[in-house]
Amino acid sequence: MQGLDVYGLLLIMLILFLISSLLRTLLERRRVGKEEYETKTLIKCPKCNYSEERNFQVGDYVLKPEKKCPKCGETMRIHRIYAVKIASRK
Amino acid sequence: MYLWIRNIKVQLDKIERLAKNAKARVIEVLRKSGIREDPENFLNGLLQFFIIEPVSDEPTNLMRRLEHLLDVREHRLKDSIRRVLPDLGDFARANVEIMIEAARALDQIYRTVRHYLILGEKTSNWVLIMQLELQMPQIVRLAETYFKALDAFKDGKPIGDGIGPLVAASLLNGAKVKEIVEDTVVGVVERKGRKLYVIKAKGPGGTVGKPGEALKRIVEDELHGKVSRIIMIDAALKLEGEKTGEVIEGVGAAIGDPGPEKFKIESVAMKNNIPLDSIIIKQSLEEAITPMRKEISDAVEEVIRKIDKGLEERTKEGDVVVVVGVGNTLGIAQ
Ligand SMILES: [Zn+2]
Repeated sequence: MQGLDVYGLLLIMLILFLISSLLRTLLERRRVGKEEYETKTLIKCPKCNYSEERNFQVGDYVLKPEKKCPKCGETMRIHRIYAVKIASRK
Repeated sequence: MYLWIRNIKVQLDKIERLAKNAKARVIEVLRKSGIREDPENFLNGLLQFFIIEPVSDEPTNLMRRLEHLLDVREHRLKDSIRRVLPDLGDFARANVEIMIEAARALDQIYRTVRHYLILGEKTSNWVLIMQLELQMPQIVRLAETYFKALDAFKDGKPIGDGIGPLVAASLLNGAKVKEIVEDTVVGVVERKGRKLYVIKAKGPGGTVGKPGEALKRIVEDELHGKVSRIIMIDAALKLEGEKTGEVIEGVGAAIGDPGPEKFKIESVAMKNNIPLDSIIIKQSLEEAITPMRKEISDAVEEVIRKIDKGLEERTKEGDVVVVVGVGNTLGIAQ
């Protein structure tokens, strides 16, 4: 009786371990699919504060002079570059 | 134990794939930039380049010895990149440099895990294997973080650690700057009737500059100690569960270098009896080395509000204040 109990316990522990590792892999896979980021560039006019957001392009950097402001004609600059979460895709 | 070993091997394969991919990407960038040597050989030579830490039982000049070694290492890395990529601009070269650093970190993780796995197997040390198995998820996450960082480095996107330089750039707002020490610039602006000396690494290439040395030169050589306050701004690691982009105030030198720059800043502040304030922006390690999240970049306004408040409450009109934006200035000019 004693021996059986120990083996039974070991078996249960083993099964629990397997289940938990399986669950963990599944959970991890789901988490990886959820966290997607996209980098955006915000351009701002220093004079009238008009701003535009567009996708990041290689070569962009903060304070880089950009096109003329459509409202007042001043040269706009890159104000911020940041990553935003995009909606999950399933 | 067999199950554990198998699981570790599966994860180790994953890390190896990441490390190999990272290497392949760096090699591709090197090739595109017109390298004059075999890129694979060149990279392999740098991946395991080591630095031997100075003796610390005898602490005489420990910081200066460490700084010297770090300088030598930095210059060797820079020179070897300059030698094989002479046509590349300074900023592109700085980006290649940090890409190599990321690839090296990944390679290091891979080799360390492999070492413990083989050691555990050889000696049937199940405690070692179990520890490894339990730590594997964290290690894999770290490896994935470095891999993601590589992308940001390749494209020159600002990273979370760049929040200090970003605040500095916002304060400078296009004011004229000069390069006071290698890779580090300083500019002077008026704010609330106070004269602000703003220090940051020279962007938009990926570098952290030498903020400590720059501060020392400005405070001692240029202003002869007549500074009422030093304000440092830096990213700091948050604890799990804390909010990303939270802005916290404190005192002391907010800088995470191996020691020499921090030591210099503390010494300058102490010698000239200047109060040292710091403002930190909380983020995780992953957020610090991957493209800057919007929550972090939105903290700039909050930091500037806190600087203004500090200026009003703790300094008088006409005072001179030095602001240091600490961090990697990748993708942020001045
Ligand atoms: Zn405008």
